[in-house]
Amino acid sequence: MSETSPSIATTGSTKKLIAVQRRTRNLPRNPAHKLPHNLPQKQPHMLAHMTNHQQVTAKPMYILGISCYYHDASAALLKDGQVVAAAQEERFTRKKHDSSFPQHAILWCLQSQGITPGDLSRVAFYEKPFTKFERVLYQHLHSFPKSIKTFVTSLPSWLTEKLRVMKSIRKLGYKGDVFFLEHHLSHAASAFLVSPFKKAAIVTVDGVGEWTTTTIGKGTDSVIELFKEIDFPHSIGLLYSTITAYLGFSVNNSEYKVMGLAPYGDMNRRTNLFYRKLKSVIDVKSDGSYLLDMSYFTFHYGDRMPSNVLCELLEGPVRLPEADLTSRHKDIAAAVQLVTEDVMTQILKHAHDITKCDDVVLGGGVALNSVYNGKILSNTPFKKVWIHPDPGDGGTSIGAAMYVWNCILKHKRSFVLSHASLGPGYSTEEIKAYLDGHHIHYSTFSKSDELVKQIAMLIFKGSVVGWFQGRMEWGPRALGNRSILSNPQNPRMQEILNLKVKHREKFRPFAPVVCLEDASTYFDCNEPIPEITDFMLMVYPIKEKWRKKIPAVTHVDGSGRLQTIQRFQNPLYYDLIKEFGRLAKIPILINTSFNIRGEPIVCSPHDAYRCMMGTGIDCLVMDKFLIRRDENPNDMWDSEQIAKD
Amino acid sequence: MATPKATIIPTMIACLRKIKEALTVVGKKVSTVVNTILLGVIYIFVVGPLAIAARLMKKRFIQTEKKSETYWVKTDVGNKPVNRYYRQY
Repeated sequence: MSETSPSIATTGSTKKLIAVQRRTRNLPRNPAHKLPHNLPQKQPHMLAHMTNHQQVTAKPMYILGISCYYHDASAALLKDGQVVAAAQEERFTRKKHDSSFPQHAILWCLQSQGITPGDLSRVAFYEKPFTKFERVLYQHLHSFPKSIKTFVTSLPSWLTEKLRVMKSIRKLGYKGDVFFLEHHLSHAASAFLVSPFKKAAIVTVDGVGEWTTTTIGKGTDSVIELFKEIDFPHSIGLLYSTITAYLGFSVNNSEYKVMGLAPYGDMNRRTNLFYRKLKSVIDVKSDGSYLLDMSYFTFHYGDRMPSNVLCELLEGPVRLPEADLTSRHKDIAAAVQLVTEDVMTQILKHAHDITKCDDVVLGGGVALNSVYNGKILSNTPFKKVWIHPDPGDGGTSIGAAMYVWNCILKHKRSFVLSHASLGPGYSTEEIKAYLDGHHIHYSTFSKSDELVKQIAMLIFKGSVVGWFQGRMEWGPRALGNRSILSNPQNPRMQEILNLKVKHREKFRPFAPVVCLEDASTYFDCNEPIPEITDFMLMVYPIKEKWRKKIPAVTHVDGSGRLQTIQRFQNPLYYDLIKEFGRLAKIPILINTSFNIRGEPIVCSPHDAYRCMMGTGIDCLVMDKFLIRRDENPNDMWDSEQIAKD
Repeated sequence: MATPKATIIPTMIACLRKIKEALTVVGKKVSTVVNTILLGVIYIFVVGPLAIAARLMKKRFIQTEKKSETYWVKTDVGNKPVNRYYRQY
């Protein structure tokens, strides 16, 4: 199968990138990139004071946000303060967590609006490269001679690309202003400036930015102030990553596996021996500040994160990938989850004390810990919480661009990120052209009712369905546009999906999707249900009486990382869940990301078809087309050999 | 019938591309070796003396230990003059 991507240049050369831009300058905007038509429109108010003539002739202001070079490169485009396009680079290059300069994502963002780099008003970069380089050099000076290996392997990339961000941006053909924001400021902006709060406490926690690993601040209207920080090497994110590495998983990729493994261990603080041991590794003050005992870590000078001292403390060597997970490993996973929750609770309580805000926004990679997120409102004085759908480094491209619009250019806030459908979409004609061009057997639904009824029945009867609709989601979660859907009532479905479809570890749980109005029937949620359940960022207990009825989405501790959906957000998806509920009596589906293990979530029709044909997915629904795996035997292949992190 | 020019030139271009790919692979390996040696020399003869001098003067580049009632450090990120954001540091 040859890969064609009608909208995107796939060459690496930036000269070709500019040539493609010149050719596509006059292309009409692709109607597939429109938002769903029944989504409430949030109109910018900044043109309200102008005359009609001025409104007609006023040129929109485009701001491009970029993040790259560490993990999860991405680009985001604002038009007059509204996010109109955003995507991670990995989805185009098909390299998971691709960190290279996001030229494909940038090109797509520009093409989606029919503009060129010359039409951009400002560009924002998510961190200060020279400050970060200063920290790296200081690490080497501090750690001499132990850091020689990392010095020799990491310095070339600094000299050839990380310190030459301006050159990469100018190569796009953009000649205007470029803003460089602090890393944690970009996190804070991505969390606060697109939230529904006018005033909120801001807490950002990640591995490390330039020097900062944790911050507390406050946001009021368009003003963000960060008051306090904790600096490298003391980092709760790096503690979690170190234990992730110790347990044999890949860092910056598999922390969520440790989170999923934790409930299999001893989650009792009194009886978990490793909890007490890990508490000795970190000194936490009553104000939430903390200090790591660096004798247990090597990340400040080496490429291996846990030190031999930590291995002795945890009573064993680093686990080899794919080796068996013992009860000791599970208890260690539980211990690091408990320690992280303790520290985060202290930090949040202190943030509440100093900001006096009832609302809080979280940013940074640690905000992906959805098990802890589900406990924030019950464990801290905050009344409301909001988290960006991509709180990690990928989301900082939106944060950087929004900071320029709201805080530097001083525009009033007028945008709330109420949905994550910000990536590429494909029209019916484009999908049909792909299917016909590749001689794929498919059938067509004439009405959406017919599609919903038939697919709901297929899922009810045990089929695994690939669901490809609308615009690709922004962030690491599939939220109903690039999803694999199946029946959670089938007790074997978790095993089928893990082994035959996703080719991943058996212990990994699956997430449920439920209509918002039904959520409190099946889950013990906070009331009112936080909006961020739309982005699958909270884990809640499933009510006791339903656990045995939906075993495939009930984790070993009875919890589920639910996604809630309202009809205006995604009518077809919503109707499918309701129709399934009519058949199965419980309106909950399994929603897992549409990808092979080790690959990014699918982006294009080709990616989706390829994924289906290489796994145990029974059929694929793309727009109004149904493609069955067994009707296309010539395109079958086995993805198990390439499935790895 | 294809003219000799129509067949020879594409064949030559294909051959030159393959040679270029092979040279790129070799070049990358050579650059890895050269980089390793050069950077190793810089590490030992530049970073090393600076690190040793700093240790003799008890200068700490990273705070790994601290005795304090709080580990929070005050910061004033955000609300800076605009020209600050043009800088990469």
